[in-house]
Amino acid sequence: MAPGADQVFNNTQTPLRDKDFTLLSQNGYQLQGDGTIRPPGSTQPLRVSDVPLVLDELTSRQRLQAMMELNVIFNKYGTKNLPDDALEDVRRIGRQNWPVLPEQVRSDLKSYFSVKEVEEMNAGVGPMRVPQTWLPLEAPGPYEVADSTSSDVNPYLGAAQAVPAAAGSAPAPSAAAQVQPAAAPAPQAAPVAAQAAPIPAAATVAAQIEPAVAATQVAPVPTAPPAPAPSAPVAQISGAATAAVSAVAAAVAPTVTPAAQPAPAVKAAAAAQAAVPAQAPSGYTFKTSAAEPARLQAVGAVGTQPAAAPAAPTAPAAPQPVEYPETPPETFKQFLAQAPYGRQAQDLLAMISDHAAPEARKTALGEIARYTPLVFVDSRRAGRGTRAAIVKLREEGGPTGQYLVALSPGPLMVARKSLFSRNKQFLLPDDPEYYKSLGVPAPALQAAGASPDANREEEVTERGPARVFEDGSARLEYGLEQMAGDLLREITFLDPVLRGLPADAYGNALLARTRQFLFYRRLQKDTGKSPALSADALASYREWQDRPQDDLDFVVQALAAPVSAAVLPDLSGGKESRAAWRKLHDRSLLDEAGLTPAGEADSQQPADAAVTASPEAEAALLPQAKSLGELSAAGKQWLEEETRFRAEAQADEKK
Amino acid sequence: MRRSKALSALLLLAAGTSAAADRGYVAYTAPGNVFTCEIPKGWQAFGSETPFGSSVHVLGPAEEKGAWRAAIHVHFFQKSKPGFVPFDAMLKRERTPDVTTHRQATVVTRWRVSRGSGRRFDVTETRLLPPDILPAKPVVLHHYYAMVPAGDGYFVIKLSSTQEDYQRHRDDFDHLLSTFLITGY
Repeated sequence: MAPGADQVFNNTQTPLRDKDFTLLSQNGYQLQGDGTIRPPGSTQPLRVSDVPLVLDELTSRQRLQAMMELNVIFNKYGTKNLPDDALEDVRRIGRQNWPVLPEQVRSDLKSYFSVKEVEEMNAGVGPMRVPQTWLPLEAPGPYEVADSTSSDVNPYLGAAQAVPAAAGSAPAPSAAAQVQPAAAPAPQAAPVAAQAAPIPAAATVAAQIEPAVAATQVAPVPTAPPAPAPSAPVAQISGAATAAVSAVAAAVAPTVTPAAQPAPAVKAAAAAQAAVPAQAPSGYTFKTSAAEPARLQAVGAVGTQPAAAPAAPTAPAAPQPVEYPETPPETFKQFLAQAPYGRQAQDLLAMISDHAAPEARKTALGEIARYTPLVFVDSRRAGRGTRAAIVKLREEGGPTGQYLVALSPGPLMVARKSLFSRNKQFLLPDDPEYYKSLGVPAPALQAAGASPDANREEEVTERGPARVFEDGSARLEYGLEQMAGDLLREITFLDPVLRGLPADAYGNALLARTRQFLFYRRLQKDTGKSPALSADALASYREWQDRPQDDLDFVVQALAAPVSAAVLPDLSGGKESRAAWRKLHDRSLLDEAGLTPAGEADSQQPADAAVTASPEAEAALLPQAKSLGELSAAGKQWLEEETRFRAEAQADEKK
Repeated sequence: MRRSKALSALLLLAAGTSAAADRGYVAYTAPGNVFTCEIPKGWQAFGSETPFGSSVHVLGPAEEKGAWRAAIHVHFFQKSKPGFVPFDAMLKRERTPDVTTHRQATVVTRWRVSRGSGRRFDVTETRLLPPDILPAKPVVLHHYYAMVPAGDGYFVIKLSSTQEDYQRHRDDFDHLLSTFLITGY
């Protein structure tokens, strides 16, 4: 046994690859605040020696499940002339599981993809890079809206801002397409692609939010017949895995009837996988969850529409916003049971389903069912987000990927004494890479996992409940209710991006904030007790209730500040100037917290148009200011929901 | 000695006036011609409809190393809007202390604004800045407030900055109030 193999595995010290982390999370493993990982239903953390075995096991299960799903489809339709939705399902399963499928199966499936797609998927077989969640200084900030030339699609932007960077380049492989629910084409992509050549011209996908996603939706004409009809019935696989597969199969093809013969390669591989033991060395039993996102066919989710509607092959259609259906609570529960979310994420989503306001609920659940963005509770992946962040995963060989909502269970906190005032608390990011990007050493704090065995105590600090360690460092502890609200806010942020709606960072921010606070209010009403919020979240929530104008002012001023630069970004100078502002801010704050070598903080302020007041800057800012005054769709929605709430609150008061 | 103190005071006053004049102000008319006023040159204004009426935000210089931006806000509260809070009740809400944010208000003074009798007071509070991005720290904010009745409704005028910089915005707020003219609602 390798030295240290029996030690408890710590993700902070040895970060998992994103692919592995996703796999564990989808199967119910929970990352703890101290970096350890617990199997579902167990309080015993994984040991170092367990990790490779667990990952192998879960990968095997994913492979088996994919092959069984293919089996079901081929049993029903054969392998030639598949109906559009079945063809799309085969392509989806292939895309999502390409790296784990046996070579022979991949070879059989090649006929369902274009050569370029196969090349792209083969390139994606390599390990995924860890996403850059800490928003490095040269990258756009989470609210930055003006940098339409940025190669990163900002989660706070709509399609219009995303296109220029991508339109001129060849579409790249998309992780998003690999994890999206079945037959969930990117908005407008499939209809165009269905009539187009296998590899669309850049102009064809120019109107799409993610050209890469559009490219993977192209339905090429199979160049060779696929593998012969399958033979092994599903029932040959026994145990929990079969139950999971059957559940997914039922969701994918509710009317499927057991039949016939799997492809020889599929059959052989399935048989081999069936022999894999379901017990890990550490003694826990694996949770058999569907690695494949379940779909809401029962409620008519738009994601189940076939991708073959005819469309003009040349000019891109104008974006048509996707309309989400109403999702009954029971249906959503069933969906959650099969969806690729860990237990904590399931709990949060269930809370949203139970307590969110009708409009917010409809959007959130519709988005989850259709696009299935990943949801992790992980402060490291939340990066610079105080409570949450939206991350776009990257893959080797491709710039775009699945969206991930990373929720922070609580940031690091250090306090510094001041001679003339109270202790000042500093909230800090968790990720060592963030500090590396700033050129400062990561703080060796016990709360950051520097001493896993250090004693800690639960305390209510000025910023809220926290675990306070011996060295004085602490980690705030956000409650589930707060995190559910944060998740709802992030989902609301992400929605216009996924649906290809026009960009409006300001309107989206207001709408997301209102929905989050309405959620807390309804939660309070439903449960009869105040939601457990951190001090800062509670202050904002109260302000929004009692003095909405002050809350609005606070949002405007924070979003217009150079560090965020979401409102009137050019007020803070160009892209370089904004990066310089962020660097100045971060280094100054770390310096004040005593976390940088003495005297290293830069004090020179970058450009600020409000100070220089040059005519050129004024002329450039005028259109931006004007557009802020005209409410976008998100802004109008915000106004409508806020007005309705104020009227209801007034009626409640009168009662 | 007394003469030199008086001279110093005069010089300081002149310097302050000169600084304000150097900075300069420009005329601003709110959307819908609701009010006019003069705002500091270089500050950027935009207005929009709100659930309680309408608002204008005038964004000023960055503060706190880029984590915050000073701004003037003018909110018009219309009685016809749902959830309307009467003038006195809103005045009370604005001045209510809050333990979580250490919010405190000064006494209310009468101040002539747009030929009417406005109420003026200051508020300080401590908020986490930036609110959604790390690293962050609590920062003391300062708000100049003026509330001005207008027909059935009223205006809430506010200049918000960090406590560290609030002194240099006092002239801006005074100038805003002295030029503020309600022209329609």
